Amino acid sequence: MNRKTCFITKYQYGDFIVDLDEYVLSLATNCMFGCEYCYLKFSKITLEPVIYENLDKFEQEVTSLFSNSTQKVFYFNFGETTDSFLTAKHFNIITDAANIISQQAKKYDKSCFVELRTKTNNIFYFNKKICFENVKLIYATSLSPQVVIDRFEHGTVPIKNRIETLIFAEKLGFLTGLRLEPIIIYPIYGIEYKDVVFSVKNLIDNYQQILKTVLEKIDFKNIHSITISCLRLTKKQFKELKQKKSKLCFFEMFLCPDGKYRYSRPIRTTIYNGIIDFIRWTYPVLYKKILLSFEFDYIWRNCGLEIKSMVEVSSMVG
Amino acid sequence: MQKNLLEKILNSNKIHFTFSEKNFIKESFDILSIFLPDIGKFFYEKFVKATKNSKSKFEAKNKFIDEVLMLRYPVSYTKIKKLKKYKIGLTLEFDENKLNLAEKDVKFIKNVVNKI
Ligand code: SF4
Repeated sequence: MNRKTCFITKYQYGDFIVDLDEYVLSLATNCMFGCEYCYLKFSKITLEPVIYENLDKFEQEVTSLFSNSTQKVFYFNFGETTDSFLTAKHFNIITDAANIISQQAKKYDKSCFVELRTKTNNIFYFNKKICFENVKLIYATSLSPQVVIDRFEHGTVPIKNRIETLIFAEKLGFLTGLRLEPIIIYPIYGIEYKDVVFSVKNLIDNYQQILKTVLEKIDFKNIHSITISCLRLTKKQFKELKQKKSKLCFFEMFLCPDGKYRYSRPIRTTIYNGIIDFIRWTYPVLYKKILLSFEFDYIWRNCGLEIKSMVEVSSMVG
Repeated sequence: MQKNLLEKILNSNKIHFTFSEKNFIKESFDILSIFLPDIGKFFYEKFVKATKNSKSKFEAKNKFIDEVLMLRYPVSYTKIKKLKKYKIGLTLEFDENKLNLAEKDVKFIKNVVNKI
């Protein structure tokens, strides 16, 4: 199928949200997995994956972007409109698009990073060494506790396999991206204050355990970034999920200034600090690679993080 | 059964609710029922307590809404009570540095709103 609208768009983060300076690559769209929170389920009529073939248009857009900008480093995200490793066709489009970006990046002296985000283990079938001039590919996977995957991410692979794919991706020459998002409070042990505290504490323990397991197995120098973000729901998602009595609709969620529902601020900052402090004290070299996704600047500050974009983190990686 | 208990509360002549208060109570009931199937019983107990010790329908309403807020937002509502004198919105989504307050107040607010 040919894409009629733009392949490359500047990410719109929403009002007051810290801008991570990413471009979305819409080379494919849709996904047949069943993540209960996925925005695609609420905006697309069909879930059948679509791959766009008119890469000549994509090339024109890359050329235009590079030729009209003085920016040296670009961060592209190919995991927004689909799962990047969904099918064999996705592999091909990744390679073709990376080639195009590489050629144009050489021509215009740019350095590019392309995030490929997945909840599959299809990289085992991809199985080819990655090397493009001026382009680094980041293999990013969502790290969620197994209870959350079982309950909310139907059809995706277990956490154990996701960790194995990170190790494999590293061997193929990818940088790695640890995506602690969306963080979902589950299980919820009750509705009273003490129950919420216990549920949050349990969640932080789960994430610390996952990080410990992952970070024992992968090379820190290949880690591009660690992003952290709690669940966000649009008004429409929240309304529909509430009607379906989904356990994603936690009672202490508020409509934030950007029009999205989030867990309340004390809950979010407690979760973020629990994870960030663990990384800071256990793996200090990784601290500077931590970013919050889709958060307000005052939340970053209260988590002791300096505000930075994906481009700035990429510059640290090289 | 649970919904009947809610209706009983909302239609009681011992308590007075505005339209938007009724909506908030219904919405809270719906969300909380996802996590606690017998939430009606819980609400009803709070209603009985609120109406029993109140001199007017309005006092009863205030007490009951206070209980619902505590059930719905157990963490934030506790925080709001601690920050009463600052008149801060329930969502707690603000940049404390922009509140135009003395440094010691900002420090106090930060300590309250950034942990559970
Ligand atoms: S894997 Fe990603 S794109 Fe697919 S349903 Fe889940 S969140 Fe959506």
